[in-house]
Amino acid sequence: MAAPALVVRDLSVRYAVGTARLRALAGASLELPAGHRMAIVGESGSGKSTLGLAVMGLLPETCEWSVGSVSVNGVDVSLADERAMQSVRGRRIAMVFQDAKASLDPVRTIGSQIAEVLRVHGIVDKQGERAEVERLLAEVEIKKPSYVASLYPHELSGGMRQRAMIAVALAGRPEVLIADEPTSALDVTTQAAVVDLLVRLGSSGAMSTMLITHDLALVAGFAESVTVMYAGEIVEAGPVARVYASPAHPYTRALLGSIPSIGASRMGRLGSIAGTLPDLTAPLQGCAFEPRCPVGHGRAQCRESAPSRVAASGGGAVACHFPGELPPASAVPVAAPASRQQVGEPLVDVVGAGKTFRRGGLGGRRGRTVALAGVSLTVAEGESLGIVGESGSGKTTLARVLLGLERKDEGTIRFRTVEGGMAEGDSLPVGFAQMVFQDPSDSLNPLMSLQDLIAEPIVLSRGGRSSAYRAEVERLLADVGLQPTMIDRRPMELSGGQRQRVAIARALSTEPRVIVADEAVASLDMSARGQILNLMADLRERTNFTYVHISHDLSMVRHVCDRVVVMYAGRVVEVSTVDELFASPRHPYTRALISSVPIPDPAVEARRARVLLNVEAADAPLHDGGCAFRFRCPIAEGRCASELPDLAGPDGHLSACHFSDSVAERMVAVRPASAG
Amino acid sequence: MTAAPGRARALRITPTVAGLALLVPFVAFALFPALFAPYGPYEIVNTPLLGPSAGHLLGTDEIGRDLLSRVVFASRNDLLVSIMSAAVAFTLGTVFGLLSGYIGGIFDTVSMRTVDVFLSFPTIVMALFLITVFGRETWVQILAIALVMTPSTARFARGEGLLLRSRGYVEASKVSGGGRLHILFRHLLPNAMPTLLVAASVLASAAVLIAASLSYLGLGAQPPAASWGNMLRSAYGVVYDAPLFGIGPGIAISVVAGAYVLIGEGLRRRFRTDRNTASISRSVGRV
Repeated sequence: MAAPALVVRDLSVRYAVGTARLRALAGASLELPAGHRMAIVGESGSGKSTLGLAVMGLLPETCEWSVGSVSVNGVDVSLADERAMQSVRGRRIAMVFQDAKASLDPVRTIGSQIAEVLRVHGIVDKQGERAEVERLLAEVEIKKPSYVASLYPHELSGGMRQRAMIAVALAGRPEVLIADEPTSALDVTTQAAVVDLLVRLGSSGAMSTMLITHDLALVAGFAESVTVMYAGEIVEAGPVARVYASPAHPYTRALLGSIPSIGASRMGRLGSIAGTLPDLTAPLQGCAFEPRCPVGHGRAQCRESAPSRVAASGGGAVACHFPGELPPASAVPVAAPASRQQVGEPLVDVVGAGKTFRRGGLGGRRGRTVALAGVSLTVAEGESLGIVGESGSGKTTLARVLLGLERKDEGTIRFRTVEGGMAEGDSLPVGFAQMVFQDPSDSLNPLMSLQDLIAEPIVLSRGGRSSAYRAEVERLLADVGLQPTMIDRRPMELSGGQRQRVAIARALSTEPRVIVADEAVASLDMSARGQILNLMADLRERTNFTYVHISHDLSMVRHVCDRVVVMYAGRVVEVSTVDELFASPRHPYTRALISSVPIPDPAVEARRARVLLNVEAADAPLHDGGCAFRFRCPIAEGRCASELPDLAGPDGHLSACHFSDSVAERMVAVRPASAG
Repeated sequence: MTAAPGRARALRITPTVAGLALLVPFVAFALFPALFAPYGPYEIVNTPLLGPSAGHLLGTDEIGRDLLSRVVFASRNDLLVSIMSAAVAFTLGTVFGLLSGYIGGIFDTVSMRTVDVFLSFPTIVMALFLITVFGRETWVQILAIALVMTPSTARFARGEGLLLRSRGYVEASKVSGGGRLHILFRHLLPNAMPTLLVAASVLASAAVLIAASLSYLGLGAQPPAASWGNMLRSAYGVVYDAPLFGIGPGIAISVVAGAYVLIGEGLRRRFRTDRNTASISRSVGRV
């Protein structure tokens, strides 16, 4: 193995929180070999971002830190003062942040921001500056680099901005590139393209890359080795193939078991990790993962002594007293029967729903955004319907229109009444549907107790005081897996997963016929996601609710839904059962989406080919009578610009493409050789 | 969170404690003036325009009444007017503003343009006009001061309403069938309260100053009744003969107005409101 590009020894960081000290990093050590791609994986609170900041010398001044050493290519940077760090940052180590919009200066052009790095580090002389800027932009696969260099950050799409950000980072020709959640704010197709770019940059040999992420699936397609962090400690490290195939630490194993994958068969249940992160301000005794560990929980050795790092079989290291030991059989989740497939009568029928947002001015064309354009779909009684699409596809607007949070401009919404007939309304009537929002810390009033929160819908529909429904609230708490004794707590006292359980209990309280979940697990940590998805599956087994899941996450939708509606730019482009959609997608957009979803299996990722989409211009006329997808579509022809394709197809598998029947052959024909 | 060891919590001087310490004596004066004032408010006890002395700590006024007693007796009028008018302005402004921000649309446009119209008049002129038309009773004074402070309060509360309107719990309540008033009282008001209470303290402080200005202009409490403002007015007339006349009422006005602001600052720190008191007073306490 080549000499390490980055060595971190015994790095500890504590943040001051009030009078307490929060342990963010506890003696972390790692080595990043030259020209190597490493991923740091962990949930929130694991210390992964702190690690990145510490290496960059960007820790806030309020924290205490102690370090054995941090060195880049043999040069110790841990003791460097601020002045010395300035010549290290950007030159030896560069960083790409999650939010490129916040990290780029909004009042300066992309070109001048790249040139600034070149100038500060004296990379090229004045004459060569312009050429170097363009070379860097071309390097991050931006077409028309000289044009893009003259643009301001707000004139670029999210994916382009992130590429520009990477170009800025590359400008100093760093030896180490640290990317902290560089794709979390991006859509799935863009995310795949950016990860591919990082892989390509990291494979050139000169630069080492470190990807900090919470997304295990993403890591499989990126890294050569992976480091797993928990509660400020590195619990496992090793070659990515070994870690994914035979995880040595119970935490790694549990994490891998808790994510749905489109590469695996549809399981009934996901694995999950009980409990929450330990209190990082309390002194630690024993293994930090012991209270949640399916293997070590309750064992004296795990409770009393902290495990030291030992070599893991197959490569890498693990900090566990019982590496590789499987949890006792009872703790292994039993595969539940696949979800019900019998689909009842139509419960909700949306025909031609349209919604246009107008912003500013007096009805000027400038501020018009078409969020929904002639959307028709049917939700059948008892089914679980997924609505997927990227940001701006209109999926959330559709849900908000259904629930009456937004008023539709056109179209009709029909719903089955209790008597069995169909009635029409501006939205679904109150009580017919309930919603589970994305972020439970926002959707639960922080000042109300669980009692009041869960009883609020009941009180609104039946009147009376919330205390009159105490028994019902206690039953609901038990239903969603919370202790009824928690009834008087407030949301602040709960973990993210527990809060989402409360939000679900609240949605169930008036026994609505439809539950709309808008990215219900997106804001949760990985270990909590599995729990919530399992809970929803259990509830579905026991009750007769109909679910509508709105999500950008195809793996999750495939796991919990029977049928899927794919949306693009305010239109439905494909409707199908889950199995058929993944087996034989009929719309090029669906194909691209599926090929972009990361699969948490390095072996599969290595063999995969992606459908590459064109980058659409920010001002593309999406609603001009043609197909809105043609600007990004790899198989678009002249006909697509003039004719809007109908949503049609055999046996309920509908798609809105002129080439639905031949899409597979056509896309094979245009697939670039370099992809994959 | 653990308390810092060795420091008694009760002894820590927060702005609230300081503000209350300043305000409490005046509240006592207002409730039981006879206990603290050496003489009656209308009692002529000595020669006019005496300077401070052991017998008359603040001296005597232009007709020989004890100034200290007048300041003490004036507390009732000034505190009553300031607290009541702040309360009225707070209630009206908050309800209107929160609803305006929450409902939006035409309702918001109409009410905010109305607010603009009111704000375009100088505060004092507006109050002067109202008192001239409706009379000089205390309740007219209270309503007039409340009315001139309501528009800025409404605009401030509207901002809070706008902020809270897109919060998930407000939408969740709407989905469950929560009406406007339910959302106002159950979600908007409780969550906006920390910020609004700070605004209320600034309002009370502004009210003290407006009340004093009105009295100074002769539109507040009518002689012989005492108010800090009309005492200052008398002091101005005899400033060359009794330069220290105005000290007592002047200090009373500053201390009470300052005490309200201190209480507000303490509340702000307690509730960890993001906005600072200065920015809140700029938007609410225009005098």
